[in-house]
Amino acid sequence: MRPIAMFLILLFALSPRLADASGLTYPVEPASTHIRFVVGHLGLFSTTGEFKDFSGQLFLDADHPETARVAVKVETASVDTFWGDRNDLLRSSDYFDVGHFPDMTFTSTAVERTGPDTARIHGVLTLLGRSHAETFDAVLTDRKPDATGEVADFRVEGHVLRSDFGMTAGKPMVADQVDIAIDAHVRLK
Amino acid sequence: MTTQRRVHWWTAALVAVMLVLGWSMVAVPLALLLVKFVLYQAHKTIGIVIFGLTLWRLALRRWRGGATLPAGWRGVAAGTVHAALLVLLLAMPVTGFLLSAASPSGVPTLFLGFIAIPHPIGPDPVLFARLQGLHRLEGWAMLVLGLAHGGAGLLFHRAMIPGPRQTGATPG
Repeated sequence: MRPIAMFLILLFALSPRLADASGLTYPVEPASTHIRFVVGHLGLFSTTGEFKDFSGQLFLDADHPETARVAVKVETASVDTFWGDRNDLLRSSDYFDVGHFPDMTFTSTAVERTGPDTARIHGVLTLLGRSHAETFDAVLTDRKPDATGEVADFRVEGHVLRSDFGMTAGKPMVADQVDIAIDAHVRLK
Repeated sequence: MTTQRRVHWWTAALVAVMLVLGWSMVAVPLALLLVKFVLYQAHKTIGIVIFGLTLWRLALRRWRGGATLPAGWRGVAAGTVHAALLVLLLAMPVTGFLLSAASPSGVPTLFLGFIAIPHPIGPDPVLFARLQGLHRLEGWAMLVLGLAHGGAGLLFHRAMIPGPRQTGATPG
């Protein structure tokens, strides 16, 4: 990992008050955010799932998204594919190995504005004890005033290769590429 | 061998394969995803073939007549078992298809492994559990009645020897 990335991760992890100081920090929580994923099976069909438990912080100045920072910790045992047997398999040592790796984290390292309502989030995903640089594309899908202020909806999409984290079980039945889609609803300060 | 006999024996062979396949595929651990997937899709494909063969048989039976049954209680028993087997041959693919559709796994039904047969219903864990129980029960009924049918057929056939074969039971 590049020293600057490590520095940013440490900065975010160890100094949450730093971001708080600006007053533009929002919690990343299941009440306002959905983390879903889709993985294909031999190109014939796919499985959709989600993570139900996670927490984190988003620093966001909606007018200057390039200054945004995000750090999220996802409880891997909260994986839900709407079928108990499959959830148990995913929690096993072949996949998320939740006994040894109860969480995965994503910490942004840089956010670049790519359009009026779009941004690219660069960061580091740590899963199964391995860290890998990942990129997600964010779109501001809605921003409007409501009774108490202003709300914004974001969709963040990207894909990861699970083999980058040593998760190779189930291939080729379970594709290497996992598509991730995160929907977030933020009540802007 | 007449077409009716051919279809009968094809059905018998496929049902035997299905019983073995059905009971073994559920025993394969989920971790062996590909093996389990292939076995399930093979089971579904053969189920569809059996359903088609049975409809064909019923059509042939209507055109050409059914089996010649012995007189008396044996004939009544044989006729009842034949009817029950035909009902099972049609009902099992239907319950199997519906339980696949209701399965929370969301795995499609792929004839020959790649032709998707649209599911008429979506995942429903309660219905899935009920249909699973029914399908298993039908499997046992198929095994017991199939053995009874085969055993009775053998006995009947033996009783006919050395009599003329053409008067024996003709699968219909």
